[in-house]
Amino acid sequence: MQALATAALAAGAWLGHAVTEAQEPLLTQALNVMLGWGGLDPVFLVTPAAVGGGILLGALLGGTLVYADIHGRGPPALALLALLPFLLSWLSLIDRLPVAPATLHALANYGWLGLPLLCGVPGIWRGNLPAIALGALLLLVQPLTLEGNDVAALLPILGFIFCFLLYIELAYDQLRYERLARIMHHSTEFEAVLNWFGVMLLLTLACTTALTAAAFGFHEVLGEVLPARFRNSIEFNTIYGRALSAMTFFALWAIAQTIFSRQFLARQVE
Amino acid sequence: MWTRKAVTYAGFGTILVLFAPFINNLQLLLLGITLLGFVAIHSLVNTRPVEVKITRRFSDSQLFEGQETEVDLVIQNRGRPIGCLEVYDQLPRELGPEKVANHTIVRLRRDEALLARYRLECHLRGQYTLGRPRLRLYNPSFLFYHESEVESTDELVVFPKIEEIEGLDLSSDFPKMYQGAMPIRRIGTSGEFYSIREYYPGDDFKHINWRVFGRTRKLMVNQFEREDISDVMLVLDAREISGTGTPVHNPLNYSCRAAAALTRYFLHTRNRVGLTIYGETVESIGVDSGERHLYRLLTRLAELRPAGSLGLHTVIGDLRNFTPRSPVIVISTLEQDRTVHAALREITAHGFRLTLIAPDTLEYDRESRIISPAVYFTASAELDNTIAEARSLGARALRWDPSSVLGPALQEVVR
Repeated sequence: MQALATAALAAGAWLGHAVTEAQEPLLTQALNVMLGWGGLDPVFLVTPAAVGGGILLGALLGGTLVYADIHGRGPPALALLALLPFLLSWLSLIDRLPVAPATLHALANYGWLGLPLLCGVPGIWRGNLPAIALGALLLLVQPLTLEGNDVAALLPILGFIFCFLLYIELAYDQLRYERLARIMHHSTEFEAVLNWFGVMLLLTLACTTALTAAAFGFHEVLGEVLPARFRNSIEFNTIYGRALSAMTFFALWAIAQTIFSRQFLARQVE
Repeated sequence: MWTRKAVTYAGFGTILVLFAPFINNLQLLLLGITLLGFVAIHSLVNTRPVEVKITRRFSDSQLFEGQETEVDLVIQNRGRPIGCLEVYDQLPRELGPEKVANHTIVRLRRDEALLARYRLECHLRGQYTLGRPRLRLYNPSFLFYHESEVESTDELVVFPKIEEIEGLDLSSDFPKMYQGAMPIRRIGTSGEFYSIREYYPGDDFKHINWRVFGRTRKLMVNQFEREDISDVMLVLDAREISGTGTPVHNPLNYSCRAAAALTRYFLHTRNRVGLTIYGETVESIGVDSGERHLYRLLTRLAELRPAGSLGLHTVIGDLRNFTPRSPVIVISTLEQDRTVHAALREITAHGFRLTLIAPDTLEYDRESRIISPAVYFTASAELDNTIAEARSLGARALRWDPSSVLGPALQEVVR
């Protein structure tokens, strides 16, 4: 479960940047601008090779943190890791480091791009919920661009969403099932419960895909149902219209579920 | 019920759907829709109420303090298949739920029955109610849960710990009319040797001690103790002050243990035993014999709680109806009871053979800082004075350290 979550995180980081391959992400631009204020060269650059390097470096450093934490040296290792970029920058600025600046710049770039894994991997393997959440947040916001994206990048988008959900679900449920395993240490039922979880996760992901497609396609249904002046309006035919259609779909879903729920029906019978 | 995870997913999904159009981002819009869809799908999975029947079986029907019992929880599914069901058997605090595994998670197929077993340590006497078991039903991704309780309660009675007492001679000078087994230090026909005396014409030949005759050439006969039923009344102090201390180490618990041990000893030697409890009210259980009476007295001792502040003198009225000159055993801390001196005088004046047992937990209370040293010395001196006064009245009085065994300690004062 943990290995699968780590793989999903790495794939998510890759696909997140693949969605916006031709554009410079907002946060990367912001970092370069800040370096420019200090009179330094812009070193952060998103390329497929840099993303790959970042994923590998993030996984390596995250794994090191996990190893240090297992041996009770988590906080010092984390402090060292946090101070290392500043130390290297300082040594580089005063020309005391026998490493070429280009190598250091590439390392800094990899470190930045590997940040989701640096947070997520310890979260997954050491059962740390805030680290998992931080990893997910970075995974989501790091590749954000100002220009946005559309159906042209549909496949990477769907892949990213699948990986994102898989990472969050497996990492969080690993935490919960670890607790269950502690409770059930005397029981032989744990394997059965775990198998049930795996099967149900796959089934619900498949159903979610279908429901997402239905919610996304609901826009077309609304287009058929609504009067022409709504259907032909500019707002309805942009992403705003799609968003509102999706919200309408889920509002209708909630109403239907409430009406057909057992408690509601029972109250009507009473 | 929604979990925090479901609320976060739904909230985050809604924000993404509403925010994505502002930056023209299809990726975030689709992610938001997917999160909402995931929550919507999961609201249908494994959240419907379940029909589960739970019953309990105990490995021992009669339990004493310090013993363990195995509890078998039979969890029977009578409805749809259940993927992940948490079962938490609610136990009283005194039964040590911090150590026992009364919490389990099971997967139940349709009409399947499972057995969950846990051990229960009974540290403290009492009458306990186990249950109702709490059920929590999660869906696979912990987005929704459903909680309910099952109507399944069982009573568990933990009797006070009973110490073996042997050869205790709490003799009475007043035999009853019917034959019994309690030695009353009178000459009689039991198997217990009493003394030898000279032979007088008419004595049974089978009682002649031939060994003494061979040695002294004088005819001597053996005399034996006479056995009779004796009625024994136990008077137990259950005032609020007797509960001072920790739930396990307090005078009332030790008093109950002493009373249980004495009750079993006297009943097993075929005597009749009664019990008078004073505290909030005066409650009397009349003298009787047999296993059923033992069970009745032990049950009463098990459920006894400290309450009230009635003094020892309140039992005098009930004792007047008791067989005259029979043994009366008072088990009391004697603390903060202004009536104790007058009551002891009156009991002995009625001719009852009084034995006084004062369980002393003052030392433990002082070491555990429950009472201050000043209070300890005052209470200790007061207790010594009361014991001395009881002895001066002819009573057999014992300041009993509960860490020591009761039987030998009682033998000391009886001698």
